[in-house]
Order: sequence, then structure tokens, then C-alpha cells
Amino acid sequence: VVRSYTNRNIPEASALAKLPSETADRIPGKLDEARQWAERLVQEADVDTLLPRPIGNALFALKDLQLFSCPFLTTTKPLRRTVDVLTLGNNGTLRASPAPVLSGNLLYSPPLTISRGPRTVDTNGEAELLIALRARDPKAIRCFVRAQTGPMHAVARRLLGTEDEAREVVQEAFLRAFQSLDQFRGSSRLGTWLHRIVVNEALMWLRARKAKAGAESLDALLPRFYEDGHRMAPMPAWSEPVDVLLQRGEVRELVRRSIERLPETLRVVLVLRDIEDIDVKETAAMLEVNEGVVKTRLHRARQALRALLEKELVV
Amino acid sequence: MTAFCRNAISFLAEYLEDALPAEQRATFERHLRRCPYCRDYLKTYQDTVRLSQAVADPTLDPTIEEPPKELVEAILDSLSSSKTRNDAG
Repeated sequence: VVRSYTNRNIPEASALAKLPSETADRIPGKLDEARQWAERLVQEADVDTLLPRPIGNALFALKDLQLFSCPFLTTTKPLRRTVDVLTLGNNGTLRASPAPVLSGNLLYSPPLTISRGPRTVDTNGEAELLIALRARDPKAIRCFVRAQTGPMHAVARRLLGTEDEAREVVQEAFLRAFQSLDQFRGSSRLGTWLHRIVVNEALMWLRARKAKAGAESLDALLPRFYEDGHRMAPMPAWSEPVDVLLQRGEVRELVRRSIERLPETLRVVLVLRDIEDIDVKETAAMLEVNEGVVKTRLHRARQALRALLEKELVV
Repeated sequence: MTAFCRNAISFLAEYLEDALPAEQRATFERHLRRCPYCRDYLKTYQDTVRLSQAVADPTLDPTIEEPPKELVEAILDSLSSSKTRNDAG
């Protein structure tokens, strides 16, 4: 259904008044930013190849898509049921039109392609995507690979620490995933399923290689106590609040480098639990250790990382 | 700083996951109230977890999940040749 949202000027919030209110109030109206984002999206997500005819500045097809963290629309809910395709005209207008009706199931686009925000669960478009992937639809495959390669590559980098190995692991994981696509039962999202394949592949890789040289000695990183339980050295607070620290790129880089300096057994648990958000039970199964070992290693890993950061973050 | 600090620190992870038995939790919290060093340590321990999560947060740095173009092409090529092999086989 086409709603009356055509030819609305993005910078003027009032022009978007007919949009659901929970959306309208999140629209900063930065046309240049929107245009740049749209150009990047078309380039990266290959949006015009997903639609039946070139739509030039197409922003995104909304049907079955997630829509979040676009500079001027940051919510998935309100628009998805009312507008199907938004296009940004050369004169700076935002146009809505119905989703193209395709003969197959070709109107899909994995959300991660356009995501700049937290991943959220949306299974609406996944069934269609899965059907197309199982049918080895080239567009679906391209779309899926383009959307997932970035996040999966990031995961492999965090676990392996080296670029070459990360790339090999991701490539191998995609092959493995497509080989076992028919066994995918849909109990999780496709992205989550692929994520686990990448993690397992990376762990297999880690088991096969020798531990990287250069890791810190654990003993030096854990708090030290006298025999009577008193601390040998103070453990001071950091110089700035964490909310300030984590906004700074150089601090995140410091954290990244510090994680890489952890002994491998600790680093892997910290990455799986605190970064990849895999629960204790699944982490234990992946590492073939019991849950107690996971908890102990995680605690030590956090303490060791804290000690490494303390050197830089305490004035 | 008290002799209990060593024990307190060993409880941190379970405390944060709310996995301590009630009595142990109460003891731990009593200690925290008295010991500024352990309060600082608890805070920086929690902050460490948040900082770890921040390195993977694409909202803080959208570039961390940008796919290397050559890798995308390599994957597409390998999937394509794998399909060709399967079709032929």
C-alpha cells in the first residue's frame, strides 16, 4: 500500500509528520548525511540489483528488511508495515512506493548489510532467504555473503589475531555452511548459525597451531597477595568513567591490543564469553572443557586484561 | 585493605552473575562497604568487561565489520566453484 509519504523533504521534520511518531522524532534531517549513506548503501548492499528495475538512489526496500541505524531512521518497527521502498530523489525528497512484486522470493536483503547498530532478531525475511540460498540463487548467495563476511571476519580476527588466518577460516566456514545448509533447522538466525560455524572453525585452527609467542605471563597479571590475604599493591580506579573511555578510538585500540596479549587459553574464553556473548554451557562444549574451567578462565582473563589496561588507564 | 580482599576478588565473577549463595553474597557486600580498594577493583573489573565488548561494537566503530572486498570475492568464487564441482559430480 502506498501511503502519502511521497515527496517529503528530509530536512524538514514537519514534512515527515505523517510518519509514525516514534519514527519522526528520530529523524535528524541531515540530507547530506542521508545522501552519503544512501550512496554507500547502494554501493555496498548492491540494492539496485535486488530490485526489479533500477531505482537510482534507492535507500532500501523495507519489506522484510530490518531498518536500523540509518542516519535519519533508527527504528525497525513503524515503517516496515506501511512503506515498502524509500527512494531519495536528486532534489532531496524522500519518496515511498510499494515494494516491487517479484515472481520469486527475491526481495530480501540481510539486515547486517545496512546495519550500523545492534543486531536485532527478525525472522521475517529469513525463511525466504533460506529458500533462495538452498536453491543456490546467485543473488541470494551474493547478498548473504556480502552481508555476513564483515561480521564473520571480525569474529575470526578476534579469535585468531591474524589477518591471513582469519580470512582462511571465514572462507572455509562459508563453504562448510553452504555444504550443510540443508541441515539448518531454523532454530536460530542464519547469521547466528554461521557465527557458530566460524567460531568452531577458528577454534579448530587454534588447536592445530602452536600458541602464539609474545603472550604475557599470567602470574604477572593477576592480583598478588601476601600470605595473610592482604594485597601487595593497590588497585586504583581508572582516571575517567568507562562511558567516556569506550568512546575513544585509541582506548578501544588499546583494549584490542591488550586482549591479544593475553595467554591464549584465557583470551579465547574472554572473546567467546564477553565479546561473542556465547553462554558458559556452549563455550564449555566448544572448548571441550567443563563449565567450571570456563568460569575460572574467564575470571582470570578479565583480571589479567584489567591489569594490562590499568597501566594505561590509571593516571 | 583487609585480609578478606583475596577472597573477595575470587568471588567477583560469580557476584556479578548473581550466582553467589545468599550468605556469601551478604558477606561480600559487607566487605565492599568497608573496603574502598575492593570497590575500586569491582568497578574496574566491570569496566573491563564493558571495554572488551566495546571493541566489537559497530555502533562505536562502523569500520570493524566492513568486509574486505577481496575476501567477499574469494568466498563467492569458492562457493561458485564448489557448486560447479557438485553439479558436475
